[in-house]
Amino acid sequence: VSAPALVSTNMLPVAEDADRAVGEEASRSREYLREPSVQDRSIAIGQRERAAYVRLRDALLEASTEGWDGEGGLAAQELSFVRAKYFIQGLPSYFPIPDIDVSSQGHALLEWHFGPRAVLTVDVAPSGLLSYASLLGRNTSYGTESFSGGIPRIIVLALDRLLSSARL
Amino acid sequence: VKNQTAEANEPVARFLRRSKDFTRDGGGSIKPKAFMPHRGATSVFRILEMNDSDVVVLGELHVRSVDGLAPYGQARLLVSDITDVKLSLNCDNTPERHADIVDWPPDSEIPRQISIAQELAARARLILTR
Repeated sequence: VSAPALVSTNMLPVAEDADRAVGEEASRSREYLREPSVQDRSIAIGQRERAAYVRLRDALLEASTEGWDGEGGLAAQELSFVRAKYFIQGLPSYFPIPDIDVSSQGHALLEWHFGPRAVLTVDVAPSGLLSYASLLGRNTSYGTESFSGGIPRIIVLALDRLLSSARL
Repeated sequence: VKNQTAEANEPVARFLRRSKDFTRDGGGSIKPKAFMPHRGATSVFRILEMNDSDVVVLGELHVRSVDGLAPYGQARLLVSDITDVKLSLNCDNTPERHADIVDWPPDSEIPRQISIAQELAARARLILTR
């Protein structure tokens, strides 16, 4: 599958729709924390989405108070996790769901870790700024991208390379 | 260890407070998050001329895991691993043997911080004690 196709597959709606969706989600952040109900299940929450939800929720709850990491880390910022949820939903479905942690600044930290030298980390700021870095063998790359509706192509390509190397 | 300047071949240990700091998969490895700085520093201990059991005791004395128990283990580096990525070690010896990995890029440069933490994690040796 070519890279451009990856970017267009499963991409979130246009930017303004995504921003509106994030805003609505943020205003219902308490709702976001609750378990999906039977009614939710009836609208076919997929296994993948459920797994991502559980990881996001667990990380958010673990870091719900300042100093949660024993080193003065800031409490998790819910808007960052709402953004992260949309980010994961926008990934092509054959990409594995990332491990989810919390940065010392309270941001959602998404990580694909296939070994010490095969790793991609994406920090999702509440503003939607994505700070990413990858290490593949001796090669490093890093930068920032804005997340406003579609997964940035450079991150999809980095993840694609990582997955290809993991399959070798 | 009283020297304020650590030698390049001196070992240091980062005690692991959280189960998310490492993975047991594939023989075990350390997650980059374990080395990410807090307010510009990553706390470590100098373990020159200490045997493994003494290092475990050092961790139990000074570091608590988030679950209130002893650290899960250590990520061990050499000082040269730290200087290779353009960071340095501030040996404050408070408490005894303590030091901070410093000279991180500022918090406004998260991608560079993550990239350096990835390299440190790749170089570090994981030793689990529980």
